[in-house]
Amino acid sequence: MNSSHTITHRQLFFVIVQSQIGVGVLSLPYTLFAKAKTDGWISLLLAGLFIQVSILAIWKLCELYPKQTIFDFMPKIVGTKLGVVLNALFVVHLFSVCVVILILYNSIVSKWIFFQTPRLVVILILALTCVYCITCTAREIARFLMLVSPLLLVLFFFVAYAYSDVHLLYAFPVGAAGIKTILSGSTDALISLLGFDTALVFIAYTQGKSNSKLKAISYASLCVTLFYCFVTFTTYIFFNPVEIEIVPEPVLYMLKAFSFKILERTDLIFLSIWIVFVTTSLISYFFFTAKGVQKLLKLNHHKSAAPYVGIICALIASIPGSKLDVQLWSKLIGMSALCCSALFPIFLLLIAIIRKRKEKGAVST
Amino acid sequence: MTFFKKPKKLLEQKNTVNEDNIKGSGPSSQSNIDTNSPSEQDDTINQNQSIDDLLKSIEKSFSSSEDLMTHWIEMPADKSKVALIFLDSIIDKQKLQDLILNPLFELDKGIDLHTFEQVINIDFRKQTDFSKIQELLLQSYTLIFTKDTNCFFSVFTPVKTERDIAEPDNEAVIRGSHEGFIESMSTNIALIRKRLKSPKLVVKYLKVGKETHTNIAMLYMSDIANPEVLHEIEGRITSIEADAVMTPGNIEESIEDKTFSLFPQTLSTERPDRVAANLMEGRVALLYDSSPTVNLAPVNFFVFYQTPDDYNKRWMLGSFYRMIRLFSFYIAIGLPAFYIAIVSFHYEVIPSALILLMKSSLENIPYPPLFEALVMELTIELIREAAIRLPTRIGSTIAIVGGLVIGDAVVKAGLISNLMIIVVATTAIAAYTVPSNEMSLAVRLLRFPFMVAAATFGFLGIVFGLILMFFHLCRLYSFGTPYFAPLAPFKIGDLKDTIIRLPFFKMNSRPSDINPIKKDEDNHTRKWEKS
Amino acid sequence: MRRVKLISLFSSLLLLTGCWDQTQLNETKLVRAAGFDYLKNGKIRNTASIPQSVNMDAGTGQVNNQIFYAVGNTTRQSRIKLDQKVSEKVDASKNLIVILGEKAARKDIYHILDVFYRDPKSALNARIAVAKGSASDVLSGRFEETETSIGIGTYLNESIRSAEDASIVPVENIQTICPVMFDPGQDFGIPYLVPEKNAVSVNGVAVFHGYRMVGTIHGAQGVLYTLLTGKQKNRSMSITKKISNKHKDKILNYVSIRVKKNKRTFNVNVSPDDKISAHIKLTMNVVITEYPRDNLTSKKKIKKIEQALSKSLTKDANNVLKKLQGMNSDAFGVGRKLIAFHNPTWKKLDWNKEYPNIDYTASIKVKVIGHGIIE
Repeated sequence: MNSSHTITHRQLFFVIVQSQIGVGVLSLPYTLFAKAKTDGWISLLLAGLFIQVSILAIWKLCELYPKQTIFDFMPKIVGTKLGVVLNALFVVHLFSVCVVILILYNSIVSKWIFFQTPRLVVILILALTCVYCITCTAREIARFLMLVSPLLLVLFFFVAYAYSDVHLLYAFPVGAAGIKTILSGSTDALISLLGFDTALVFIAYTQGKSNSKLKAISYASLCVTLFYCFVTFTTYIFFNPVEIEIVPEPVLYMLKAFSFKILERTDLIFLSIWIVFVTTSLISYFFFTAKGVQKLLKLNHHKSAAPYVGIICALIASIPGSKLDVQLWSKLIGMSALCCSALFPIFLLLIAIIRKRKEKGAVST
Repeated sequence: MTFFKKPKKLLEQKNTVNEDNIKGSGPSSQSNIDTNSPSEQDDTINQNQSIDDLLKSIEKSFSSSEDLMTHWIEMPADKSKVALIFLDSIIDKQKLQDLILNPLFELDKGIDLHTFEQVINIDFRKQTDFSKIQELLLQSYTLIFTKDTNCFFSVFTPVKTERDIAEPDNEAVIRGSHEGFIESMSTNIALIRKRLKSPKLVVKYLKVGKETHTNIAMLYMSDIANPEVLHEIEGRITSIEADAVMTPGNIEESIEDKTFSLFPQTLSTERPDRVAANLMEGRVALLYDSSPTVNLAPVNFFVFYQTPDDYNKRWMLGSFYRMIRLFSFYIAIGLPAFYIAIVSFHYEVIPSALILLMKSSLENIPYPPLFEALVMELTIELIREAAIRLPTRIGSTIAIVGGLVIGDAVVKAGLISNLMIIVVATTAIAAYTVPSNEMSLAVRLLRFPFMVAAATFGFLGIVFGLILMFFHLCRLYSFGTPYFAPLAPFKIGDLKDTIIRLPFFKMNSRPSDINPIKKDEDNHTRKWEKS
Repeated sequence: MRRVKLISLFSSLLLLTGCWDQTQLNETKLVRAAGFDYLKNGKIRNTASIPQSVNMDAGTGQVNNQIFYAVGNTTRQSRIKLDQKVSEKVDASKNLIVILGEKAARKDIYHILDVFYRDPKSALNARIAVAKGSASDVLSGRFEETETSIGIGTYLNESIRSAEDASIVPVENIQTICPVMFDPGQDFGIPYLVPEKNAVSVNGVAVFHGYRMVGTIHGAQGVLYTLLTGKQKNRSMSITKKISNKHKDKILNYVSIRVKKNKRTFNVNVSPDDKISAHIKLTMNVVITEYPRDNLTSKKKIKKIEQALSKSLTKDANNVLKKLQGMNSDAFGVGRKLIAFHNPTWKKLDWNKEYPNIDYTASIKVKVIGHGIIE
């Protein structure tokens, strides 16, 4: 691995933050409400705790195999042949994540601003932009993701403006949904928190102490969880519990009513900034996917895989047309992504540890 | 004053050889000339020729150009005839008279050219490398041939064609030095040396162009500039292989990292103080023969937004105006696009109080906003281009005709809305606030793709345009240093002299993006406060 | 080469795209005020004010106030019919105000407003008001101010805004009433407009229960209503109150105050036998703006005025509450408090039946903190 491609652990923090915050932020309150009612924000906090486990597993894996991406160490853990198969499956999973990001992005954009623009065009402009962005090294990607991070503050202030008209009482009574429903809601929350799994490839490029890497990822996921929690809670006290059930993008809807003296319809501005976050998370996933494809096809550089990744994803993403199709796709892929991104690293780690133990045992005897 | 390396070794060798035949005249001494391998040169300027033949072959090699003059004079010492040859058009005859001929005839009669070289004049050299004859002649040397065909003498007698040192028009400042570079490289170096009286300022001469022999001087502070960067720049310059390298632009394009980028990757300036300040930050300056432009490298994006004026203002004002300039970057690339996006996609964002006003101004305009904007922007570019080519007096007429008459009439005629005129005018002004001309051009060109993007995808188009632009800036390098530093990679300490300008005594470290060897700047200017 | 390909791909993409979603500002007709009435046959009449600038010079052109009508079975249908009548595309995204006829308001208003909530381009920040009689009367009337101002929409919007500033009506728009409308434990009020001869006066508050308007609160009581909502904390609201009957010269019996600060404490208690009592306590810091009798020097005098004001305002406040209970409109959200803090009780209740019978009181404490520049 070339030393000029490395990133610092501070950049790693922003990479993870930017990968995690993506399409989910707009509709998260709605999906959470569907299960856990006004206690959705508690489910979210719980989900944040759960993913710490996955993060620990990912970090440990990367510590066992330093300077290697998941595609490099997968064959080492499960054996060469099975490794290739699993790598291929993992690449398919990554493809599906990219596709679902594109699908959700398109569904929101076509619902809010582009009513007539063909699906494929809306999807292609995002996909091609991302393709341009991943034809470089991890370092430049990390620089860019860090550069656009201040926009998060803008989003924060937009959402915070809602506090000029909230009904704090809507959040009460706390915990009315019961622990079971809150727990079941947290699976949905987990899906929207996905993105930390890009660490599987970005840690390999990070220099510095192993501990500081773990800190970077954990803090990133903590920040994202808190930010999501803030957004969710705000929408819950802005909308009536009855109303939120019919508003799929509560954050945008909330901003739609706000107007400032110099600008009205803040939702359009918010949407434009949100696009940046969709782009950044798609950039990380595209990069991840391209790295996987590079490994699978034994290419010299992931650059050559980039355009194909982008165009294939865009074409697949433009298939589902109706709202119900979109829901079905995103649900299926969401669940599979949950297994691959959150649970798979844990299993992988267990196998790796057992292997290492055996090897050690073999050496000592 | 000459800036060509003296071929010392050769000279010393020859000196010992020539010791015994100082007066050894005669064309017969052909034995000790084989060191110079005469067969190398095809145009037959060899030293194994009689002086007449030699002169003829020189004349031939210049295609009998009529400004090549030959003069025969008689030496007072031994009455031997010597030939003076020079290019009439580029030498100063008065200087030749003063420097050589007068002293030669006034002095003791026993003196000859060899001793003359040793004692009298620094511009008077003995040369033995006959292959350099052409080159010397072209560099305003007068050559003196004696009957001794082993060597000849050269006198540097350039005609003074320099203009006076004046303030550069496109980089004027309110307070501060009003000196600017001129077309003479040595003067330019002198201007820099005047400001940096340090032995650590190193000048390195390089040469490019097989036919043009353009001289390039590379200046840097030996204790600050990063040797890797130096090596990189030098390597890139020496690798240039071209017949003619006419302008600094040629060299810029040959050595910059990405030619397919709109953003300039070297900073060209005509201000010695700017060059000196940047040298102290660890950058490298490239000076060119007969060009007042000096290129600085490596640079980052924000260097283009600094001007020496900032440092002569109070620091808060300096910061304020720098922020205005950076803000103007966004206006210049984004305002027309934003306007187009608003009136043709998202007029919901216009505040209620303004909407009717805007609507009434747009009501009867027959063209779509993109077309409107393109027409007006191109008109402004036309006016600009015309004004540059014309002398100043007519130029102002153009400005009046273009600005007032077209602007007013076009609105009156109902072709363009008056809001569009406001937008276009603001954009034009914003683009011209960039202190660097290259960056200003880049910014002016950038707004066109943004306008098209805004007209097809509204805000979304602008956002994607900005993402692409900023990503491009993030992956751009200037001689191996990140171009968009200190924002990407983010270095909070380096913001002190980029987005804002902190007081002088706060600037205690050099910008880290160019990796200077010496990072501390040692600006402890307010020590008196502590006592 | 790859870069060149990529760039050409991008640029060709830009050329290929038509302008699918473009809606040029100068090719639309902007509705600035919309009114909705139910006709006798149950159809909806949509009245739209579309101001057209007459001369476009220098921006301050005169505005020709055009009113269009269309009738349809639903709001959207009437909008489509409106579009057919108008030359260019009708666009309601810069709507300033929605006016509902009283008859329409007394039916389910959500049926009318659904279009506004559903359309991504609609103006959710438009104000909403109920008009006495029909909305079309208010919109099509020729009032003195509309002749000089820019259209009826702006006129109505501004007059409601000034009423909001004076706290005669609560600050609401289409979006802010929505969560409350859905809330089983809270109701809302919006401005009530009365067309007069030369002007439209913002007369009071139209009080809603659920999706329906149930009554009005007029004049000075409207101020108390907004005070009791406790929302407008730092507005300046003026009240003139009679505090004695002693003086023959009637004007001397009155004092005018401006509320500087208004603090609300709202308590809802459930007794063990499920009796619900609610109490609103207001603490107001006021400035005396008119008191011709003067002599505000002594502490005692001021105390006296404070007491008199407190008493009189408390009485008014209780009247407002009684009235609201009578109309079965829980405008201050007693039910919401119950849901939040006494959820088990709430679940047992039929709030619609229970609310008019709860023990609902208010008390107002006035504190004079200033009296202009004379004593």
